[in-house]
Amino acid sequence: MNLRLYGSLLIVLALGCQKTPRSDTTGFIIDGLEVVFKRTPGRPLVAAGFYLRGGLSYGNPEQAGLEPLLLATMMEGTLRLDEVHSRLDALSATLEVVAEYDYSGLTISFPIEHWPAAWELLSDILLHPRLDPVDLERVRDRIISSRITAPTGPEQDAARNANQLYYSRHHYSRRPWGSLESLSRLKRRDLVQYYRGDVTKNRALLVVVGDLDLEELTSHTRRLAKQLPLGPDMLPPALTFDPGKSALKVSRRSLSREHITGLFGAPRPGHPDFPAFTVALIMLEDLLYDELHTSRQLAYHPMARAGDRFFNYGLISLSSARPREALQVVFEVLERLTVNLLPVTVLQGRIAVALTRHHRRLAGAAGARDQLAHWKIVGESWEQLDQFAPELQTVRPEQVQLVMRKYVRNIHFAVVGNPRKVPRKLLTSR
Amino acid sequence: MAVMVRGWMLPLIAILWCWPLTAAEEDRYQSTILENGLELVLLPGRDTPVVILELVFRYGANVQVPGQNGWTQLHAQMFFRSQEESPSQFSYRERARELGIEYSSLSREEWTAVLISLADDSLEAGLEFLLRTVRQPLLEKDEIAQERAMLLERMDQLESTTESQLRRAAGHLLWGSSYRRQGRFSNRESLDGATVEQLRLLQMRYIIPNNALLIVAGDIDREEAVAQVEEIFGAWERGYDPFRTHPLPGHIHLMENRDTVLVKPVASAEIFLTWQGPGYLEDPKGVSAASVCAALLNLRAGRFQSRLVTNGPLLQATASYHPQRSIGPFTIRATALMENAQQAVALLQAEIELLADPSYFSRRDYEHAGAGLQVQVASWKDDIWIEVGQMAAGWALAGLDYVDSYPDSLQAVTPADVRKCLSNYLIGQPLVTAVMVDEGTGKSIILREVLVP
Repeated sequence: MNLRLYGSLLIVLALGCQKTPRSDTTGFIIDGLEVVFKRTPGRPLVAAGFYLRGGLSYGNPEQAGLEPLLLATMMEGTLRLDEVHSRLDALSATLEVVAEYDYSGLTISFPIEHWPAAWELLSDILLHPRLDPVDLERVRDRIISSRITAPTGPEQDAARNANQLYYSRHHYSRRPWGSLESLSRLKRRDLVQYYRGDVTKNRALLVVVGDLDLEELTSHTRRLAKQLPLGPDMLPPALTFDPGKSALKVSRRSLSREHITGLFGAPRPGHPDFPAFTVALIMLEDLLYDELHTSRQLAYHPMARAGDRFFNYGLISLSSARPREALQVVFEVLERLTVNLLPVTVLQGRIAVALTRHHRRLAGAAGARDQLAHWKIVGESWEQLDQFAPELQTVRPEQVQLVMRKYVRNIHFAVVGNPRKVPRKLLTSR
Repeated sequence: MAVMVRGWMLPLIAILWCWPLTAAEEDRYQSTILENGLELVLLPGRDTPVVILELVFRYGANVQVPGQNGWTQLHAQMFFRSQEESPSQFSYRERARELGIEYSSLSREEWTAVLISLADDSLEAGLEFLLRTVRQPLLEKDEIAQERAMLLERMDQLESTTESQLRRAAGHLLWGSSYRRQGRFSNRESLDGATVEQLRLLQMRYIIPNNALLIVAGDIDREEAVAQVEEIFGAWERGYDPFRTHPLPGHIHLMENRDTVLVKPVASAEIFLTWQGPGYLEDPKGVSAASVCAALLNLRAGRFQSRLVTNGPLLQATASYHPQRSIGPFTIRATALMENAQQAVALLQAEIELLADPSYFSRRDYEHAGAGLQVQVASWKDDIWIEVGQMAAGWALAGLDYVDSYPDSLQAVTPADVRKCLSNYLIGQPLVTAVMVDEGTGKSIILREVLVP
């Protein structure tokens, strides 16, 4: 038996008996507040997150960025505690704002010995924010400087342009942190009004990961939930999104190479196609690297990745001094994956890589918290996070081919560079 | 405390590890040294059905002599090209795919590492793959030319961001002609000079077991792992101590204040203050003290943040210390509104002088900074991928004893140690100030007059 065949057998056997960690996660509702709790016995850190569902689909587009601005200002002080900062220092706690396309929230990490003091601090921030005008101005300036006007490179510009092009008919074309215009016109009264009417428990999701006693957690959470207001029912999200036919946007800039990003449709986490799509993009990235980097030196690090939104996207990106040749190869690779069935042995290696990446994302309390929140809000359900590993292991070549045909079409490309070097016809052909 | 044993003790250790509970079981990891000098760490991960293998060598940009800028990074990329047993990169990558391996390499100032991860039942195949990766690169001329072109492309991408332009400008001023030994890319031309023979020399000199640490982490059986490592890596021949035959030259010390103003189309002023801080070889205690200094300056309710950020002109300010064997840079990175740029730089530099006041940091500050650093260490241990990376970097800096004693060494830092560190390396010491501002501000901003003489 040659070495390579032996290796293939090894990996197939390995995958066959790969362990799936048992689920130690529970979900429940306390006084109208939805909670997901993962117990991690013996772990020294606790990671929690208070999330507000809706993201860019919620609220007034004229006030884009209000919710993260509100949450960041809430972190600066409460009516009962002048100095949130010194409490955070004393508790060795990390408190951060997250702003995503489908949700925003406050996350906190702290050592377990500071439970429940850190929890009380989070509750106080959520229930009694000071919303001081001076804090507001400082936080607004910080967000504008770091998130809005911070200079970006051509790669990021290509990605941003592709996003705007693909989601031009959707609220995802805006940015979660808002714009210079929308943030600049927000007043304190806007924040106060939003806090009173929109920070409600029926929009909220609480995720906690740590070695905590369930009853004790429940008791503390109940006190928080009782004081959070109940808002109107959340509208269910629209079921479909049509990005339209393939499209192209070229931004002229004098650069040593062209930066190209293409977006296309994708299933969201928990969707039956998601495991096969995950494997398909690993395969696609592998082939692009083989052809563009190894064989032809046309691009350093071509990428193929899945996005993280409710109306999800897949992405291809590359930078090349010879974009015509590079993109011709990209389209040939896409065609190959659409037409040809992968050998099972080839597929098994990619499945193993997908599993490794999955476990990497779940590592640590903060990683587990982020993934649980993500699968609950953006995906079908947090329960399906546990099913993802076993589902990956059952992906078949036919499924990979099917998702390539189903999703990798109507690609919306954005290019930053020299318009003369862009193969327009090719880029709008799929 | 890790267990240090010699190679001849391995069979005994293997037997001991068969017992349900040994003293070693209580430790986070076990370590040993093979007869060929390879250090081995076994780091079991409780929940992750994955094996992580990291092989780290004590060489990086610091071994580059003039004309060799970027060579160690190029060499690290060549690990993933043709091998003796995989005579093309396709066959190498195909082998990785068969095994379901994810791999990457990283070459930093003082170390170069190869990291692979794979399914937990493929340890033996993974170890064989890793050894071949580092030991048998063919380093062929065509492939070197291809990787060089790809690295230059990467260099272009890095240079296209204003953040990297600011860091590079500050780095050049801080390190002078020895910047090549700090930065991975600072000279395009030197990459053209990398030949097959010279990369083979790097390979022969530094890629040897007695200059390496292997970390086997994740869902592993210790007994099985140590036996497989011994079998697969045991035959790898020891080499000459590269640092005895080719000792590293010292860094050039910064003797005076230097500054630069970069004019770019930016909306806020980006400020970079950096000093040559302690190095482990000369001042091991200073290394711990510098980490505590950075934590003290980052306390959200501390005097520094309170005066400059919460109630001052800065939008944010972060202090960081990057420990190295020889001179670790200490940096404060800050942002201010453009109209506050001049005031921000002046206040930042003036605040550094105020650190000389023994009462600048309170006893509570020391408690909070110390506790925060301990939690940071705990957070590394909470994520096995991060823990592996931190252990590799710590070993490269000062060995596994340093890794073991790191939390205690931080706790042992006293206010007197912090004051000594500040006085030796920051207050009144040569400083590099790099500022990125817009054109209008660039015409009027003055850095030198406000600098410490």
